[in-house]
Amino acid sequence: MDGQLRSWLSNPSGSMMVSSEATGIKEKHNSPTLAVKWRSRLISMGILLSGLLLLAAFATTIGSVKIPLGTTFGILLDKLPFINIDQTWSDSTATIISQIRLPRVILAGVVGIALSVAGATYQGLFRNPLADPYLIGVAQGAALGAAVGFVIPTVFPGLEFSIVPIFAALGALITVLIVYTLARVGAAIPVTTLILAGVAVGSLLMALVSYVITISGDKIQGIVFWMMGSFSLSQWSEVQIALPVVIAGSAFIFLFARSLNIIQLGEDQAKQLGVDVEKLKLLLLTAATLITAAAVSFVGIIGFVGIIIPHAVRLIWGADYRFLLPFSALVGAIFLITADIISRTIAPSEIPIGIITALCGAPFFLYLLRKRTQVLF
Amino acid sequence: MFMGKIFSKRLNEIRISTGFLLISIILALSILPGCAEPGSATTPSTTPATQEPAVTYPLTIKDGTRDSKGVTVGREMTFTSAPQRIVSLAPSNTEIVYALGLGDKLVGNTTYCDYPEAAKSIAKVGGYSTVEVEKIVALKPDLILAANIHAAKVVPQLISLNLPVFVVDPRSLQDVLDSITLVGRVTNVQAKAADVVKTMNDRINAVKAKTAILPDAQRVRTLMLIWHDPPMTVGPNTFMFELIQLAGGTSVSKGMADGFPTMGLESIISADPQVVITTGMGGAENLTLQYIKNEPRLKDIPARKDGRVYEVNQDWTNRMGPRVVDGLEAMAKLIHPELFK
Repeated sequence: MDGQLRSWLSNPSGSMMVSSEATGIKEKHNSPTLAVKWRSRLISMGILLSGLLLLAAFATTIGSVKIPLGTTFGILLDKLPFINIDQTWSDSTATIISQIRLPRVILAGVVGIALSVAGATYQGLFRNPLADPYLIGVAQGAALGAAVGFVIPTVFPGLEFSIVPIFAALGALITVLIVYTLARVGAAIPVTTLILAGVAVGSLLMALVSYVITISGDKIQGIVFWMMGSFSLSQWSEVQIALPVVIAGSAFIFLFARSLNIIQLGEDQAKQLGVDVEKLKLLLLTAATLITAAAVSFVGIIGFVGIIIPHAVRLIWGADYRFLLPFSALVGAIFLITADIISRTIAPSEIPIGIITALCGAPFFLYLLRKRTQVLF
Repeated sequence: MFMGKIFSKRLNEIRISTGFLLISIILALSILPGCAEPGSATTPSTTPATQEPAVTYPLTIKDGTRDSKGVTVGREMTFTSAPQRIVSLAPSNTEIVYALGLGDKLVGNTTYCDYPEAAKSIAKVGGYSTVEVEKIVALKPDLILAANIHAAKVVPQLISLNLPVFVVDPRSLQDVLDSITLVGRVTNVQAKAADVVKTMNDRINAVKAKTAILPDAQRVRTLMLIWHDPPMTVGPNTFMFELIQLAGGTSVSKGMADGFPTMGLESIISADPQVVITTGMGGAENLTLQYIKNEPRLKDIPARKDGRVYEVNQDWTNRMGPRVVDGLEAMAKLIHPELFK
């Protein structure tokens, strides 16, 4: 499978290898291995899904406080409908399991899904292996929104806990709107222009973030720590917002998996095959940005997930978006839950999650860069 | 390699944000602009302290420069006469200068120097970590009081310009007293410095007399938080950790990493703190205080049940200057209200 990535990386047109079956283009010879391929992929998906659920349960059992396995599962099962277990544990133990760890694990999974699916979508849309949710300024916009949210004098007591995520999400969405508008050339949005506009706007916003930081006085730590990303204070109310948005947004993107496959052949060819390329860009850009915003607004900026996961999935299961998207979602959730376990348990104090994902992501990123033999554009 | 540029930019961003983290932690601990409430000024005692050897010029003296391990090595400097034009690069140094009665000789300080009131109207030579060397040169200082944060870049630059930079880098309560004595020697106001130190020592000893004898069972489990998202406490090598012990508490961060380790909510719950002290600037502005008071998941910790979630003026605990004693007394009152009425 490594050859697949290599051929894709060194492909002069920059398009990823897509088999004809993935694009739905009729072929004379349907290979007999097709059904086998499908079956093996679906089995892998089933294994990953059960693995994810097991990992989530396992992640809830570990933390800085030692809680016996039986107690943890007792608390978890007790939460399920129709199951009643006599409480043999203290209230604070129940709080730790069901109010602190469980929402944290679920939110880590949700953010993993969001960043990976958004990353895969951006990469497919831009036909650019290095695209991720942050290339077009989404993260920088969210950071500026959060920074402004921190420095705005709090009008109502208690409001400060909700204003930052709202501002961060708005910052992300407004940024993409600006980038999209700037990149428009007539009726079309050329991908190169979009990326360039995104990078330029992103740099501009980072400069503004730095400026806000310099004038923020004692709010500085809030902004800086937000930018490093953390699941420390994850709570159910955040899961209740992020989970539906991310699941709905990812499902919406999945509806366009075949179009994403076709667009890999190049925009002109995709148009000839009946794909409304500009509409596709608008819809998928919006959806991917929405799920990114929902994720980062609560936990801050977590880098590299959006780049590593889709590429890792491509290496293993190929570049067909009908599989790439669900596999990315599953692997992303598993990756981020695992990274969060590491961040919670590796040292006497928690390590910012962004550091762990970057430590895993940077070498892969470099490997990717070493493999590139062609200039992309 | 257009994409390569983007890639390296991204790496830079990561690096920058890590740098920001370090800076922010240092900043968080030392510069935060002061609050409106003034600390109690140290009143000089009337009894003269033991006299040190008299200062004669030229005076050769070592400053408080530390090596990479944090051991004080000191850089030797020579003063031909008592400094008349002092520039302070840190709020703590500014407060030391005023405590020594040298306010009229202070010609420059930073935008964060806001105590005492008179410090606000002094010419500013930049922020805390961002020093504008040109402004310093223009002020023709004969003494520049730098701090730990300047050791890496600012101090070497000032030395290369042949400017009289003197590092003050206290990290413990005793260090603060020694620093005041040292600055007093350099500026030739030893008697005044001895007075200040004696007054501070008397107040420290008054606290110690009641707290040092406390058996472990009577020490209050105290959690000190400098931030809530993520919750950050004070590691065993920090000054605030020392203050908790001196004030008759026992810090729940014992055995945790040095510096300012992050503590998850579950660790906070299982640490079972009887008192939580946040550092802040007063009431509504203190997000960490608001958070700990209102977070439903922390409702069962003893500190919440007994209504013992407090804040202490961060300028008293973060600035290694004369007001650390105010910080010690404030914390002692919060941790042991029954002993300090």
